[in-house]
Amino acid sequence: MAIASSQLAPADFIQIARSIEEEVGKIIVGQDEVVRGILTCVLAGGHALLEGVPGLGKTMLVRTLSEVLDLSFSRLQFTPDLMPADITGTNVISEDGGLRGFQFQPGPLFANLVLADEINRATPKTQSALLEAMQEQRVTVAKTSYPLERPFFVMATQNPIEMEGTYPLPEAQLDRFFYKLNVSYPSEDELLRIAQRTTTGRPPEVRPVADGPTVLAMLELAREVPIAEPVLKFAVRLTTRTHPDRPASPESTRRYVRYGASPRGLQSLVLGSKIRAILEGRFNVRRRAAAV
Amino acid sequence: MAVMPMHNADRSELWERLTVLGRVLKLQQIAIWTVRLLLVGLAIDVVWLAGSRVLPYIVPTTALPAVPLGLAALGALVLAFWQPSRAHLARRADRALGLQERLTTAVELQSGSLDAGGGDFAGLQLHDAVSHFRRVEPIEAFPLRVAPRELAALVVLTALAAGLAVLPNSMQQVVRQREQVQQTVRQEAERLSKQADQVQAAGLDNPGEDVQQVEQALRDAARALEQRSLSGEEALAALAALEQRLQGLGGQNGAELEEALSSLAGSLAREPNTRQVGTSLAKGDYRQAAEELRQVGRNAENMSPAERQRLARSMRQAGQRASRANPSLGQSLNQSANALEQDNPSESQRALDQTAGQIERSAGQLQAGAERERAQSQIQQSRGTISRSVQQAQGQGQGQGQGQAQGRGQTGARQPGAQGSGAEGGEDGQGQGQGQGLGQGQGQGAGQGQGAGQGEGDSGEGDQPGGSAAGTGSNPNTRGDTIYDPILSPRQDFVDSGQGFDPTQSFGNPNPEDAVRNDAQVGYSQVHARYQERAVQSLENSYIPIGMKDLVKDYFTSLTPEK
Repeated sequence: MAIASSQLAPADFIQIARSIEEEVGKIIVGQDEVVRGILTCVLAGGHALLEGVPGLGKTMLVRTLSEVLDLSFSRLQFTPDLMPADITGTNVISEDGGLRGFQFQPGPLFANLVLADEINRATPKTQSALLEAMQEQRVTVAKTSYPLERPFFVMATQNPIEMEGTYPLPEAQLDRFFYKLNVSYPSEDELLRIAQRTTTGRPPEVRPVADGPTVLAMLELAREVPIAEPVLKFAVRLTTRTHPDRPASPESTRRYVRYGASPRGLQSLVLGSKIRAILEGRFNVRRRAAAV
Repeated sequence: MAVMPMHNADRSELWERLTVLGRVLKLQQIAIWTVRLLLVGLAIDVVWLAGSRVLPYIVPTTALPAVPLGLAALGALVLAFWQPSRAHLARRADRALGLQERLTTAVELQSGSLDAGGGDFAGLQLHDAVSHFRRVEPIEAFPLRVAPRELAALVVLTALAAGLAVLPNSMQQVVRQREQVQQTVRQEAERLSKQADQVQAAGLDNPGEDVQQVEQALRDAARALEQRSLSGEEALAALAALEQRLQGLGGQNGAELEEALSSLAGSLAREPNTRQVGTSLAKGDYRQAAEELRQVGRNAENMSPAERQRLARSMRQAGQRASRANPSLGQSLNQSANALEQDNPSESQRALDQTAGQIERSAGQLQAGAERERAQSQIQQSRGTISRSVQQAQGQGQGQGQGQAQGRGQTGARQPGAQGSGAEGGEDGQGQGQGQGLGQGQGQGAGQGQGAGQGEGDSGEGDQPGGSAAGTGSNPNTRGDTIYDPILSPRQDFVDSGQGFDPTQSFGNPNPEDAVRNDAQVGYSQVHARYQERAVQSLENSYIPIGMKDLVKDYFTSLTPEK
């Protein structure tokens, strides 16, 4: 099942990606753009922040994705009393052959796909611990760094309502996420299909269509999608136009934007455009994809 | 292994199609920019024509179509040599055909400017781009179509330009009048320049500072008038300044000096030894006369005492006459007379040499004065000409007599130098009027009111100071009379009513019967002296060629009652 990156062809990439979407679609009704966005994040090696009211299937979506990708999955329910060690792991005393010593006990972060549910309910201290893991893909406990298993993805959710007692994510932490995806209410047809699919008989089952190495190979291949210089320049212009302190920025930016997109934002824009292009069956990035 | 040939074929097809696309794009750009440049040219025409209705300039009709056509031709020529790059063509085709940057990416990948990476994206992308490119025709990407809005603008601007070009433009008349004035000013500048040349030539014969100053003043005035932007008023002001400058040069009264020399000629002509000197003086050949007088001095020791005494008397008599007009000449003649009376040949020779030098200096002064008078006369004529041209340009000269009226008034009061312009009255230039306008009268007997300008008459009679004068005049513009012009018509003698001047013609009363039957109550002998005096004054105050002065003098001399 595992495919080496050098053996993966663009056509295989497209085929696998479509299979992933089809398998997820067996469980998740509708939310095509959200599924496409999460898949883009995964194939770009990024993290996604899902925002939506409870009950829209955010957790189900991430769990289904982990099953389809055959990745290890762990879920973290963020609460105010959640401590960093609760997510990174901690050293515990262990006895081995009559000798006692500290042994690192990995936390839930040591998984391929981590669901950080209601991330805004944890304290900034715990959120910051998650930051290192997201950016560096490793955790440090007692001056010892432990690399996380690749691929490593964090899918965080947050509830836009009931903001009392929450800790809104700071800009620095928001910048770590590849995409922020708004999960909206499904349409009537989708609701009908959800009702039919989940309240009658056995719920559908999904099969894994990829694994960690395949995802890594796809991740590497996606970066090879060519992007022409004019399109790249367009992406750069698009990024700089979000900077309110630039004279060339539009009036709306200068009035309503406090902080513009960072270079990491530009990287996400270009990488996302590449993946979106190959997901659409094209072999080059189009200008409009960057604009979207 | 089979992938590479396919890539090469795709690449060749891409380049080929891009080449064809480039040709089509060039044609399209030529069509588009030809129309646009025509629009620009027409817009320039419209602005140009509209400007000619508020600003004083004339738009050449032939240049109107040349502007848009020239611009369009220039644009087409530039575009014909335009070689768009493949990257440019790919970008244009992507935009025009909605190929979503396929061609741009393919060109960059195939030209090596974009890293193809390790995958097979380059080949796949090229094939994808060519397959999409193959589905469209280049003419679809760049159709030879002109925007309807631009065509409509072309029609509107053409109609507007044509309307502006055809509709009457009152400003054109103003421009033409201004050009007429400037043309007149330039002509007058040329006259002054020629006058300066003549003065310079005269200065070669009789070099002197006075002549050079006159020449320099004339050249300065000519240069001032030759300025392109000089208006009529400015030209008049420049001429007035020049006239003042010439008046400031001053100099001895030429008439008095000439009279002195004439008296000297008469005195010397009575003696055989100095007859040649007198004859030369009478002819106006002062240089020859001076040389002959020196010869007389050298021959003084060969004269008999009686001859020297007679010559001394003649010289003294001439000195007495000359001292009134030219004291220095008179003194020199008296000194010569004294030396001759003292029977001192060497002193006589020295005194006669001194007198000869004095005669030469007097000749130079006469020359300078004549040139100055000639220059002043020319300036007055130029002022009059420019003034009339300005009046015509301003539309104020309609109905007024124009040109120099040559009065032959029978009873007109002579007002030399008076400015006068009056309504032209009567038929054939005859009429009455009171002068109030521009132009300096010049000459004798110019009756008041004979049109604007300089009256130059020849036989005015009558004396009604302060009153209006009835006269008979002729307008050169309507009667064909011409004016003596020493500059432009150096060989033309005075012409009256189109008939050439005959030097042998008598200037008697053309209607003697009228003279007999008139109602004159004053005797002829009583008025002759006054007339003669006035004639001499007129000769002094106006520029008249020396030969003509002599003629007038001889005429009055012939009318002397004693004879």
